[in-house]
Amino acid sequence: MRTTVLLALLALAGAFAVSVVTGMLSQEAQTRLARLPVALLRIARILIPGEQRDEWYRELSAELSYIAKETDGLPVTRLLKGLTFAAGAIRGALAIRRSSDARQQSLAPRNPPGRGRATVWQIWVGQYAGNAILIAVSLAAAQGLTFVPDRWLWLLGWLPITIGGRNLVSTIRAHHCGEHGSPAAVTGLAGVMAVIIANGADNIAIYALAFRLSSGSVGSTALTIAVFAVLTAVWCMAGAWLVSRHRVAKIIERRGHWIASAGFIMIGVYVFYKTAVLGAAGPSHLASGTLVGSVFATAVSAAALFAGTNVDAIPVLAVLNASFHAGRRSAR
Amino acid sequence: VTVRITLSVVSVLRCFLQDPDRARYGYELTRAAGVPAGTLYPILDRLHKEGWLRDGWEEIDPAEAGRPARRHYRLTDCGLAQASAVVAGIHAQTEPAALRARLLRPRLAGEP
Repeated sequence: MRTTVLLALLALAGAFAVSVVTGMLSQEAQTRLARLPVALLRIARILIPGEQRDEWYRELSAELSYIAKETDGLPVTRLLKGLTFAAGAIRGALAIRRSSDARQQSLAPRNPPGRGRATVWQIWVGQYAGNAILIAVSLAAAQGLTFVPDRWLWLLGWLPITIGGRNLVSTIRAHHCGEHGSPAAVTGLAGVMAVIIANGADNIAIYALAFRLSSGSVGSTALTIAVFAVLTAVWCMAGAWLVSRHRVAKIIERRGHWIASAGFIMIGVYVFYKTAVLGAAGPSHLASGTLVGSVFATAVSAAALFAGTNVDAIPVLAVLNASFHAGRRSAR
Repeated sequence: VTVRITLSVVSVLRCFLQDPDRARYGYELTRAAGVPAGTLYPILDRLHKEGWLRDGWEEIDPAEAGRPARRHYRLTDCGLAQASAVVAGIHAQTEPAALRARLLRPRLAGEP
């Protein structure tokens, strides 16, 4: 019951935010955004096992064109339907990949004992390559978001809140139904990249938001990417350290999804906060901005660390980055 | 059964069972079954590989329609039998009398 009410409230708020934001998007931004679902589908295509890849892509892209051309609603509504569909396609592609890998593993004698595991260099390279793709897509999306005027920017805070709320609801639901998705055992460079990209569908929204909030000069964007790059390295090291401590890893594995959802919601609140103080100056804002950011970052990082790959590292990066820029801006 | 039966699988099967002769498209099914695309396509993939579903392509002229033909699915004879059994089984399990019997029995048996 409580979940239903929560879901209804979030949906209402989300729908309101979406309608306001999309209403403000200009025609040009819309045509750019219209290519986004297809781009997502192309990424998902990589995940599908070779023998069914072309057929799958043909099927899904036909559905996308159908959604874009023949479903009801304004162009913006249809675009959103297409985006949801394409984001789902990525998740679905990962699931198809997993089950195909599992089938192959049960047929072939297992090389590594127990679960397959990616080697260390595959994790590192895969993390960087996967995140590079996510950042590229987010930069494109952030371009679309530049058409949102500064004074309406706070509305974008609903974006992470909606994502977090949705994740929370599905976590609660899975908890009640006793459905526990076991983390994917990934092998190989492609596997690591696949997990990062598939889990990154939500993160694209957060990244894009971070890029939009720090928008401005090329320098600040470059700085943002550098921060991401450094934090990815910190991330890999922290993950490796944590996995070696089994008891900590177990706890985080159990609670990870809750913490990650809470992290998303806190990022939303933080966006409200940050956009509210935007323009105001003073050392107190510098301090509180960074403090709030790092508290959130710590909370989410706990979730993101679990099991090496399967939870979002990105909210942390986004928040750290956002707080960094909040600090810098208010310091001026 | 080789297909793991989850709530989403049941919703999808019920959609197919509503009118077994009708071909269903993916996006249409996400709407009708209330299952997101990320869940639906792995299910379709699985059911297709297990031989419960057969697929086909929409017969349209892409140039005329202005979009490519979509892929559709319908139940095979085997799939029809299996799906009916699954859905009937779920109904039997969740029927009030059956639920009451299952919930009460352990407690009564445990009492001295």
